[in-house]
Amino acid sequence: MNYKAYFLIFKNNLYISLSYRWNIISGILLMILQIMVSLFVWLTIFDTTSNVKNYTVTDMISYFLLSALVGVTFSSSHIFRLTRMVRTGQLNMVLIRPYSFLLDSFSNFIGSKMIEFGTTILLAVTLYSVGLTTWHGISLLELLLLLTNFTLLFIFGSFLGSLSFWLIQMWPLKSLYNSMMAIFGGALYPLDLLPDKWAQLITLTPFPLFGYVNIRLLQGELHYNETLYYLILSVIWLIIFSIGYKILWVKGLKKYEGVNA
Amino acid sequence: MRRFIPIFLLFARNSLSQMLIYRITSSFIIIFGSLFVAAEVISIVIYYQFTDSIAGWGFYDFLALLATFQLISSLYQFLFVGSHEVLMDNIVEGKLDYDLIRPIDSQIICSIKQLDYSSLINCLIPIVLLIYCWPNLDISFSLLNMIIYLTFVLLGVFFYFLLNQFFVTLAFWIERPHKLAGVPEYILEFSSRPMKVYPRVIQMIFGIIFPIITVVNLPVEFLKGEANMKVILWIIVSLIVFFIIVRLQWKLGVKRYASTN
Repeated sequence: MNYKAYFLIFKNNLYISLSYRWNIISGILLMILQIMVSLFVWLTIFDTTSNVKNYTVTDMISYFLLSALVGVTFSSSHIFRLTRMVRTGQLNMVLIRPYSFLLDSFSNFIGSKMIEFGTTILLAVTLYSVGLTTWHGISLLELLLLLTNFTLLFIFGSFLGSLSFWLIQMWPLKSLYNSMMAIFGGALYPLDLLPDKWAQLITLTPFPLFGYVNIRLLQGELHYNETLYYLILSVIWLIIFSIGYKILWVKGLKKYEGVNA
Repeated sequence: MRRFIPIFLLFARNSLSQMLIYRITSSFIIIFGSLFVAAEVISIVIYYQFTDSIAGWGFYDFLALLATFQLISSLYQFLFVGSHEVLMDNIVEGKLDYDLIRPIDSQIICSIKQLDYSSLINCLIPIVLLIYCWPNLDISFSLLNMIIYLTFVLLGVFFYFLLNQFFVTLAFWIERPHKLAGVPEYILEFSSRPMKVYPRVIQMIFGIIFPIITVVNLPVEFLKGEANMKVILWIIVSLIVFFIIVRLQWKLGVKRYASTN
């Protein structure tokens, strides 16, 4: 298989992202704004209490700042790419090309995320250097977990995006992702503040892998066994959503009419 | 004004037909909207595990604020979100021609074309929350108080509409404005919390200069018996000024518009 085409797609998307820098900057600012809403409430709570379960005020600030940075990289914008192509009939041009749409999407995804990722690293370094959060280092296993979670995000987004063949309006799926991240992903509160049984059930879903798990990893709070457990869980979800995507893609193409092309 | 009513009713009928044809999309909107409210309710329950009061707001006050925020958001989505989504794409792709040549105000027709009845159904959840909270608030449950509360909610809906309209209309000037379309949602999120949890700078910007937090907090301040006449007058003045700005922006944008027909 010739991977040169995919590398070109990756490069193109990287250049496009660089051209529309304002999109990236505004995306990061908006994510930070969103997290600030929850953080300010927690800071007000800490005015009346010094300790919330295992969290001090510094831990909570660190949690939400890292949550904003993780949220930038683990955002759901790629879900709607297929939607636009199905709605406008542009998918026709892609289908006649002799290459994999999934790999095309992945190259697109990586290309568009590179700049966001780089900016996130810069912001993280700034946070560490001003002491708003501390760097605990990252092991090979933890790096592997982050990369697997990142790939899982792509596959999950592709799986959701393939619902475009059936749904006339996809914007409710943005609400799905946001609400799932709010309930299960640790976007509104650290998941370990929930009752233990609830927290254990929630960590079986894929959403903590896009938020809470990565945040606790960067805070240096994941032990070796927990890291291994989440890595295995991430791989299992990767397999499930890959199979789900394949099934939806084949069924969806049978339904696709290529209108508006 | 009289000729808008039959046109609006026509759009309303078309939108209802569309909702009934695409039942899956509509069902998803209802389910996902409910999930988001559930996430917020869970977060409020967690907050009040660790404190009795957040910036002088008790549990039921906070819940009423969440209900009001959701009501404003759902009513906006019912009336305008479908039209705004399509409008941004039409401006960028140069497909506004038919809307601009009709013998009717183009801004109004572009804003009311598509109603989302699923979001109207989602209004039930905040209404139920409000009915649950109201007995624990300071204002008695009477017809007059309900009408006043709803009037304040409708002011909030109008403010949110103007905010979204402002950002959508930026598409006349910005090539890839889709990230900007999400800004109003993030700004509105600030208003889902009591104003006093935020630092003074944010209170100044979003409470006084651009009073989105004040607009959403006002109905609940009324229910708490703390509504201030000066604040109400300031909101009305802000709405009038913002309306004029959005109107002028549209007229300038239309002059810049380039068709692709």
